[in-house]
Amino acid sequence: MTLRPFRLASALALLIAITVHAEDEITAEDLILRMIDQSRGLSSYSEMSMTINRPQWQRTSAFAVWTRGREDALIRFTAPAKDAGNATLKVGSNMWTYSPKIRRAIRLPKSMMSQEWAGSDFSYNDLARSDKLFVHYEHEIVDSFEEDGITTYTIESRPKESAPVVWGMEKLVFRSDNVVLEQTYYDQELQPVKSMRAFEIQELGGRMLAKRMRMFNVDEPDTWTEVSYEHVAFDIDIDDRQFTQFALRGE
Amino acid sequence: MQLVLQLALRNIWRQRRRNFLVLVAIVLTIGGVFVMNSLSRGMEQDFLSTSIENLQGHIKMLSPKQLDEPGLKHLIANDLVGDGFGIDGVVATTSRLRSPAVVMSERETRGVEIVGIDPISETHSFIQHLELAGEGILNADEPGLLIGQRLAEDLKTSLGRRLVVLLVGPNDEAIETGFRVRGIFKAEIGGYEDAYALTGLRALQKLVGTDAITEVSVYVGDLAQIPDVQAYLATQFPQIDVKSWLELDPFTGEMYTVIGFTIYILIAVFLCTLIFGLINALVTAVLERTREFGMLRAVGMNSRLVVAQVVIECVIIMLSGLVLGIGGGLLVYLWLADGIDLSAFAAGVEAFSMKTRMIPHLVGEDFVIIGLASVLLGLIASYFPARRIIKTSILQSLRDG
Repeated sequence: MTLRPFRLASALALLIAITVHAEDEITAEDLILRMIDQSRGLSSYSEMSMTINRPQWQRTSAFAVWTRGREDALIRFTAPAKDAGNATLKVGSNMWTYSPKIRRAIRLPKSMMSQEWAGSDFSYNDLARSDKLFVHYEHEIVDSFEEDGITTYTIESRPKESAPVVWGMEKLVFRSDNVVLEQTYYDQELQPVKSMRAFEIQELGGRMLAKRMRMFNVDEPDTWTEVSYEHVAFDIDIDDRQFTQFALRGE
Repeated sequence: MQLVLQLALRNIWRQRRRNFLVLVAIVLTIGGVFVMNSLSRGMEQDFLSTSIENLQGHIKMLSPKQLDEPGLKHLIANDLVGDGFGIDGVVATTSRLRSPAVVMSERETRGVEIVGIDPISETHSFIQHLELAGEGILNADEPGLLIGQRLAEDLKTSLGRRLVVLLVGPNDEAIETGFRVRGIFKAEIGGYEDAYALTGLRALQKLVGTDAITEVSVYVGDLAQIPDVQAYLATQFPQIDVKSWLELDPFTGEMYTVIGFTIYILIAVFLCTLIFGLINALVTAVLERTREFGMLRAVGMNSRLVVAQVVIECVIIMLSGLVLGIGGGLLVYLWLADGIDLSAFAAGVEAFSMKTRMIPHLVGEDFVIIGLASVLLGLIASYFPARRIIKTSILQSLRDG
């Protein structure tokens, strides 16, 4: 498959086009766009739990997530009690965190975006997943198979030369019903570094979703973080106020 | 006079064991001062060159706000520098663009300073003598990155891999881009290895979208020319800060001054101990020869000649001690000329921004000072005991002896 230079506008046009075309004409770029779009419905509210596992200990916490469009999200911890109230707000490409203990919202510098979020194996970048994967990579479908009318694609994405991306490659396993089964990050010697796997694919809030997603460190299998949906609702009305710093502070 | 000299030499020989010990003391002291002095001077040189080579220069020109707010916000125009401004004494000038940055690999993130250099004119900094793996930065358009060994280890990266560099642009915008590692360097000062990430000046300018630079470093041939060159540049470019290395690096500047001062204190202390030892030996020598001097005066020798005799004895010993001492010191210096390896204490000496090899350094005027001071002190040390001789009457000395 040949790769073409891309512009966001033409990509969007293509996205519309693929809904009309037959599936065998799907390109890797189309699939990536679909994935990016799908994981960010119009608006959503979900309650999730997160388990952080380390060789020595394990910790479970719970939080609520509000999202609006592609760019905006608010995450607030509800349990355990000592973390309750901690919140992360993302508006556009800016991110803030808030801790009730210091009663202060801190804007995250971009340099912090690769740091881990809330002690988990997810980085702020993982949360803020923008269209970076689309803009800075070149994609190729390396494998696909069909089962029960659903095609599963394996896509390898390699960053362009001057892309602000540390990975050597990202591998994505994506189903034609818009479920991401696996996303693996490789270093520049193409050794896997960390990987996210999806489990318990089912219908949640009217969409096919993986109920559980686990991000783990390939070198240390005992080090992983799992998030799971307890409750999801899509396309709901959320007050714009929910994506302000007032909401971040829980006021 | 001939007679006095003859008598003096004969007397030295008569008390050869004692005089030999005095001579040994002088040789050891002078030799010690010589070696200590060359090491201190070496350290002084080391401080100076380390500071100058740390992308500093003898004089640096930069925006007045740059030091308060380092980064790409306060830049100066690139066309400032002609060919060394054509000023007398300036041997080199070079421009740089530098900014604090975050560098990320697949596994780690570190804070560094990214410096865009022009390798053609960057002739007087530590970059000149790096131990390099890979190609490094060959020209100002080189878009790759040259990083230190320690940084490469921290980031778990290697030659040819890509790193992501994040920095804040001139208009406060975040700039994020991928860089290939074009070279990995080992520096004499390990601290440089995780402090700097180097790239081509024009490549960095292109990336951040500016024609401007952060600074111009000016190198002079002789330290004494710094004030003149600085004053001249300050009048030529009134809108820009023109600072000498002493102003930019006051810590090292202070160390430099303190060492220079300590050297003289050291010389003074050593020579003082030497003088008291000498006086002690001479007083004994003079006292036990009271009768002899009384006799010489009784047979008609001028008392000034008697004093001269003692003084000449002392100066002869002192001069031979001086020659032998400096000779011995010179041998030790030659033995140490390759430097003393301090790498076992690397962490400690680097805290003082010193190199791990201590190379002694000779300064001619110090030896003129040591030589003159020791001869002068020899004169003083012998004059006072000798004066005791002529203060007592001839009869008294003949009787007492």
